[in-house]
Amino acid sequence: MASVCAGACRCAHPATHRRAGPAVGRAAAGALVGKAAQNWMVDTESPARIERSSTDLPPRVGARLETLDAVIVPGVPGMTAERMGLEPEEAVFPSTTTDVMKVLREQSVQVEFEDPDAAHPLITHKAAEYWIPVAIFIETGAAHAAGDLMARAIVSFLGRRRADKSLLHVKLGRVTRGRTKIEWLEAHGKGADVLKAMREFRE
Amino acid sequence: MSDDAQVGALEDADDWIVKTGRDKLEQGREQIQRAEAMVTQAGPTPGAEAEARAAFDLLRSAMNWLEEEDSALFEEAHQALDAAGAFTRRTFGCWLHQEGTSYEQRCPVALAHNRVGMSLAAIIEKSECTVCHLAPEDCPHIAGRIYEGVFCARLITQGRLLEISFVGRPAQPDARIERMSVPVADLQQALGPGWVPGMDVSCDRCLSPCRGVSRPWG
Repeated sequence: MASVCAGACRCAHPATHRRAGPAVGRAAAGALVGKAAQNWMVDTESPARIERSSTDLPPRVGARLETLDAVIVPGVPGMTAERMGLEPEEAVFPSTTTDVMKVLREQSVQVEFEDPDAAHPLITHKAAEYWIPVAIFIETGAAHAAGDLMARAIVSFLGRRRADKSLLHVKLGRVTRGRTKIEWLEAHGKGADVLKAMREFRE
Repeated sequence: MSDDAQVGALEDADDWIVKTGRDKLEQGREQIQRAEAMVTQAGPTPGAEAEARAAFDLLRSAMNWLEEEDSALFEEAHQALDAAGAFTRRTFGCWLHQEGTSYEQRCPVALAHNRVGMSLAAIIEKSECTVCHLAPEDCPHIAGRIYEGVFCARLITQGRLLEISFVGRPAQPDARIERMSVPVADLQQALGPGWVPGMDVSCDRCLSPCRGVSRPWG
């Protein structure tokens, strides 16, 4: 076969001509590959969103914190049941829950689910982002600062580099012994910023 | 961290991801070198073509694993894939996948330049540890760590799928788009009136200099 290529290459290699037909280059096929639906924006540039609030300490949680350092309560930081495609009353935990609890226990933190007898369905989510389980800590002194403990656990779980550069979603509560309020920190954004906010989460 | 040999080191996990990508890059390079040697010895045989095209998957996967982990190695994998694509196109020819009058881009080289992946959202009803195969709540292993050479992850064995999202960096690096339709109208516009739907369409993408990868999410 002694013809030239019909495409933009104008090559003369016979093997390229075993099937007849015009060529399509970047102008068509290549450019088309660049088209993709966009339905999930991962924002790694904006500053972290950090909020503090307080709520009453439910007696059940207070009772659990008599014997534990921390309890895990249902919920996924920053997510509503509707946004997750769940029924409103459906209680779920982030897929990191089991591992974060193991890491906290490595650090000698006694942590359990608030309701150990209930089912604990886990939800896994999208991309290289990390949703951390909602935890409430009892604080008995500076050495047991909730934010420090959880920040250390996250770094141990993900590794320093991944923890700093990933997007983190955290909701963390702390209760000072003898008090009836939970102080909350909720933080979403670049890991380094979220971890800094957690370490600064002190009275 | 415990001194117990069963407890993996965190930095090992990061290294493991890069090592996986680096291994795939090396395998892909060796694959394309084998193809080139076969062409040199016996010409563009079907066997040589199969070898060359198998390198595409390895090199694309190398890009997936190295993305955001090691930018220099990612770029090496990217360039190796472009070179493999150019060699294959010049030696064997390339065509859009065609079924009747419908066309699709299925080439790993072209698709690898679109840095979009997929991640699922799901309720995990049952899962097991990839190290010991017990339920994660019943085992001592922690996801993301290496235990005696085995990467600890959670294998979902029963779940309820909620949605699949397009993301810039999927949790599973190789969860990528495997085919994209090419509208006939776009082909008609690019190829002119001499082309009619149903004709083969040769793809010359890899004969032009690479214009870089597309990252819709930056």
